[in-house]
Amino acid sequence: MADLRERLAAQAEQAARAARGPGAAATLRQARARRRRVLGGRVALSLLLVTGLGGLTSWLLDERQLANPPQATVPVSGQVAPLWTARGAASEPLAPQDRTLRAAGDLVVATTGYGGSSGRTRAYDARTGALRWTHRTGLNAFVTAVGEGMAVVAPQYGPLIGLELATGRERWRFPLTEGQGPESGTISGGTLFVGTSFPAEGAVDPPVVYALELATGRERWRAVLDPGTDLQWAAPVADGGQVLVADTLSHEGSASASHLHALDATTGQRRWAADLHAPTQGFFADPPVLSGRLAYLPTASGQLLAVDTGSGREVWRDQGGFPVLAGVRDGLVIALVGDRLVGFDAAGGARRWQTPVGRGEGEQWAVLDGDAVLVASGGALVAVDVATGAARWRAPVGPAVGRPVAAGERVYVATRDRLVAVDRTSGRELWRSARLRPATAPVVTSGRVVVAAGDGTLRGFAP
Amino acid sequence: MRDTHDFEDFYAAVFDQLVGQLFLVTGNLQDAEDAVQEALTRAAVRWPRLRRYRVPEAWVRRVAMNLASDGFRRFRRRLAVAVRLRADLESRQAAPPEVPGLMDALRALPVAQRKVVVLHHLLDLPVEEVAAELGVPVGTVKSRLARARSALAARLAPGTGAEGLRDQEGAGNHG
Repeated sequence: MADLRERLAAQAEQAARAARGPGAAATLRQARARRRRVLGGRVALSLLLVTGLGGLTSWLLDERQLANPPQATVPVSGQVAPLWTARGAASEPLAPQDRTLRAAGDLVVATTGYGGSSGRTRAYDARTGALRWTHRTGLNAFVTAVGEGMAVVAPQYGPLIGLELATGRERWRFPLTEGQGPESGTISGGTLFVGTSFPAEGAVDPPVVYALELATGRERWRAVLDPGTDLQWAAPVADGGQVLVADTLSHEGSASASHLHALDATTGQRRWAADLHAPTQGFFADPPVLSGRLAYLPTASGQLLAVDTGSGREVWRDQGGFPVLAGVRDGLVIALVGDRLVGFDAAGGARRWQTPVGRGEGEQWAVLDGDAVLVASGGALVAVDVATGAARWRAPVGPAVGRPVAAGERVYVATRDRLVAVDRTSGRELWRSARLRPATAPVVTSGRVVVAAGDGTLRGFAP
Repeated sequence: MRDTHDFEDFYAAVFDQLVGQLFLVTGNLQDAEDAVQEALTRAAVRWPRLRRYRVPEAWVRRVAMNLASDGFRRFRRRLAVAVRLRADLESRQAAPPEVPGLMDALRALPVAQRKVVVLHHLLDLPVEEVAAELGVPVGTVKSRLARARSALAARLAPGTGAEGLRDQEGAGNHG
């Protein structure tokens, strides 16, 4: 027994030596901020993300310089004021699904987000910022899915709640088992497909995927997946009569493998399960990208996998690092891998081209925009030609928060400090907002560019 | 101001060692750091009262242990996504060196059993204090210890304490 104690002590000592905390001063600042905000306990962890995105992730990031910089553009521009400001949105950078404002018609749907037991969902008029409706959703309210005239929202552990998008009127509630938490959902053809997991530490209850009638909340089917796994953040993908969902390990050793599952969209029966060859835990916010008969998805082991959607057979894989998928175009799967944007042959996985785009502080996003890919990485926005991989322009906008959005002749990107608009053709900066510490990516709807600011307000800008 | 200085001293004194203890529970350095940091942030909010406790560290450890259970995994999931958005996971903080065989054996235990192992065998707390710290009955602590010892004995190689663990099994059940 003495030997066990010595080994425990030796291991604890090793871990203590490797420990790196933000320090007492930062902790006190967080504590003061928390007192001011009068929020619940778990928000501090979000605060870690807020205040620490630099600190927390600076050591996560390999600060490399752009190896071969594309043309740079000179920042210009006037500082623009918002047309309207509305209160009541989440002020914390949240999980990707929470951080995305949902635009539907002339509405923008936002939640008060992580950290509040009385969390609310609110819908605002995109043109004027007027509050259309509020729903008392509950602890850590988030929007599961929006579409077909409905918004499905949920507190952290359910129930799922169906709201009329136009009025916020509650139409139905679908209860979940205690400890069962919903993930992102997908609305397709009058059905909500949504995955749920049991995220308590040590729990190995299997995740469950539900198909609910969108209008009534009535259960059409449920599919119980593998014990010891949780579903990833990404929403299920409904396509070709089947529903694709990816799982990951609940914790170390809880299952032997993670899988991509194909469920029959009508019955919920499992058609196949493809081994992701990822014996570690990892969550991805982005769903698989489908093109032709193949699904492309990242794995927790840092691979890009191509899977036949008819059989689950693995067609090819790239093991070059964690991919951030932009999409498929002209026979190429385009993904950001490390500091490079790579064009993979969609059928065989060969690398057709790769372009250094930089890496450093800020999030990494890659978005298809016609025959170009917009990449936010390393504090810059870069437009890359899909056919050749050549960089068209580079705009040094600052570290990104959320994905860039192209609309009309402009590209909008939220950075840690501001909302920035650049010319879609040249990359020239057209305008930037005053400092507002964006908490979400912008959405563009009804002639407005809307973003949630760090002070808990929504701001609506003229495009 | 004195409160602030007190807290800074307290933080400096306990952060690393609590991370070391929580690492044995979480099996992951980042999880351990996050749990301890969150517990210390909560402690900072309550510091004027906590500083009068005989062992404020025990309060922080209890909170951190609780965080390593209910709901924490969900936060970890959020953080994992956030990390993915910002950098390759390969560039995350390096794991500390592991004592051969020990962490694999601990990770194979349920978290509840890891906690009693740490509190009882690393920190030398009597089962009654372990029960009080975890908020569970003494009998539960004993049964968790017994199961943990049994599992550790089966996983740890002969000559590395496994015999001793087996020898203690009965005592764990009764004592």
